[in-house]
Amino acid sequence: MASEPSQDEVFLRVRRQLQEQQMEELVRAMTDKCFEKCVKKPGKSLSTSEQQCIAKSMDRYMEVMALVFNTVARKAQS
Amino acid sequence: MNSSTDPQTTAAMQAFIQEENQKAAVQQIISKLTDTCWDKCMGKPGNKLSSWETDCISNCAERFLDTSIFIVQRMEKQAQSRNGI
Repeated sequence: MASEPSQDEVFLRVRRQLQEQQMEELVRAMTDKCFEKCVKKPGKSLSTSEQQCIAKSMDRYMEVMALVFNTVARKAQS
Repeated sequence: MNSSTDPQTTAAMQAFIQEENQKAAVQQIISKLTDTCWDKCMGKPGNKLSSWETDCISNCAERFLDTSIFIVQRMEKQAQSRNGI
């Protein structure tokens, strides 16, 4: 019979679930923004240039998020 | 569920919930600012952020927070002057 999980195990599981949710939210936001930026006229498939744009857009999105985080952190300290 | 009534367990649970709530609140602000400032500042995605985009993003984030603070303060003032009548 499986023993009842310890409190630390429960916390760990909850934390992992929250992280998964956050990752899903990030994917949703990126898809939204990068589609908007890169797929102006949807064709029969994603073109090479659209894929290149999406890849860059994903990297820039992460960069913007990090920049926002640093800006907020700096402002919170002042 | 007998373990959840133990005061030590309850305290640890409350601390955990508070910490996760705080993290969630920060994450929500970061997501909101990223979303809003991306729309305001970003042109066609390049190989790196241009210096104009970098400035725009950090100004956007700071001014959004300033706007939020300003609105709260102004509403407080208005509430005070209404109470003063």
